[in-house]
Amino acid sequence: MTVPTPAVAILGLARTPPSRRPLDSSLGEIARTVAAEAIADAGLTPGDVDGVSVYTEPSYPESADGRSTVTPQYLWRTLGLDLAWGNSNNKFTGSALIDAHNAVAGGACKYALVLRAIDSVAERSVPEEYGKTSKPDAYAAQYGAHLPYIDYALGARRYFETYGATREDLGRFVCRNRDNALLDPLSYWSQNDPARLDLDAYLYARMIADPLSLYDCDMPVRGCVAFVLGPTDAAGSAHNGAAAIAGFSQNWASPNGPAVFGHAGGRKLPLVEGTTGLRDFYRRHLWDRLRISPSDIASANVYDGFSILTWLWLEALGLAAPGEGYLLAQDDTTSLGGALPLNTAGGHLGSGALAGAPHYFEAALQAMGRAGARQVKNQGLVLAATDRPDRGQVLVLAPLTPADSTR
Amino acid sequence: MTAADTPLSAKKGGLRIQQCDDCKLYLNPPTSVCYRCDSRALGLRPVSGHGTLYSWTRVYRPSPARLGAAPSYLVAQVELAEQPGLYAFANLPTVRDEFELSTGMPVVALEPANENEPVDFEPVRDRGDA
Repeated sequence: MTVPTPAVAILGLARTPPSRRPLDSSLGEIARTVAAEAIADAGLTPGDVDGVSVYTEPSYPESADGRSTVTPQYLWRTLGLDLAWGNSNNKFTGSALIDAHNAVAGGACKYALVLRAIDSVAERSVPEEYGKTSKPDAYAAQYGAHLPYIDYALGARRYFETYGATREDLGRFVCRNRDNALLDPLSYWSQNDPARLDLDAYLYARMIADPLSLYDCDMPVRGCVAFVLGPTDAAGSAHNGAAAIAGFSQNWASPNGPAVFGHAGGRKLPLVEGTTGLRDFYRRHLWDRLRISPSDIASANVYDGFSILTWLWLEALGLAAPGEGYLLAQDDTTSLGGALPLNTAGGHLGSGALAGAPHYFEAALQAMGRAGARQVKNQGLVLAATDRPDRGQVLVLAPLTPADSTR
Repeated sequence: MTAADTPLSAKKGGLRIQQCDDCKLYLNPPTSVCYRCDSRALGLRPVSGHGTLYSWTRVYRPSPARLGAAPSYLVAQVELAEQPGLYAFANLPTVRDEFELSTGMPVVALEPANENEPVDFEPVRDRGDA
């Protein structure tokens, strides 16, 4: 395996501990603080940063800027940035990182701040008119079927029936995920309820939509995560190491937003069967393009906004054979000491619904060698994948040696 | 057990599914442009009401539209007989115990109480079994 030194690297990062309590300060103030920490971590000053990627809910009024949402203009104004490039369209952190990578690689800016400030506690308080906003949504609403966890519960049941997996299989993955989260001092559980989850407690947890229970679903939280991207040859100035972006892939098979059964203009495939078909996509657009194979990955952070998604991702990526994702997600291979440690900080189930940011944050820490008690022995390529495989993002990060950064 | 044995069926014209007049593709949920041939000539057409169970879930945390109704309800994803990959949502009001369900089992649409009600389904049972 030889990966040429990539052009763009993550030079710095910072985050707040996720919380479910009301914020002490506005989302804007938190974003400003975290942005400043990430910029300092990269060995830069705000004046160096000339690109910003954040996500702004289109429905939020301008007056919410700095209070319940954060725009590029807010950061530009409050941090005194001299912005040459800005982007506010990427809801998922993976897409934001990919766009920022391309902006740096293409010369649109030199240093890009990628920030996601989220109050998913507020975002998930569902307004009464929910379900009346679009045709596919209204269709599902007649059957009480228009909430995301119902979609994933149907997928999980189909997976169970197709491959013989059980709630115990899901539980063993979720419990180990919790153990990993407890090794991350900034995870939701370390901060708020530092207790292990045993299989009995998992099995007796409140059911949400059978077979998914409380601990299969990420919790809405408030928090902020920030990354600073820049040219790899500037990595020497990063205070705490850098992680090169070795490659990425994005799948567009399924539309964003409300869509059931593959309509709304796209082809959203059934979760289980569709995932099997995605293996060819990721082989061609991730592995072949990077000229590496799944066995070259040293650790993986695979999306678990709903636990079942991790099984499907492992199979879509070719890390597990079809129908064997549920076995890989719980066996020794994917434990912290195994050959392919999985979700080493507990992912979304460990840190809450932060648009995939926890997965990329942990991947970067692992590639930089900064993961503390969770640091995997094999320092090699680290993979992070978020959202669902049929509209997901994958990044592969590589550790940088001093020689790489001063080439 | 065959479909003809079912005491209840949708043969009275209960279940209608959107179909493209040009390429005859069925589309569900209804949409405004056929996603195979781009035609806008789409209309609701009666279908057999027969299908198989793709998956199901008992929902304990209800959608806002169901608040105040039953403490839990069954949502099924049914693959309709007319076309591979043609799915419909359904509730299964006559199923008391979901342990009788399995993927791939034949299901049939129930006659809706009135024309504005969504069409429910139930497993195809032998006569006298229900």
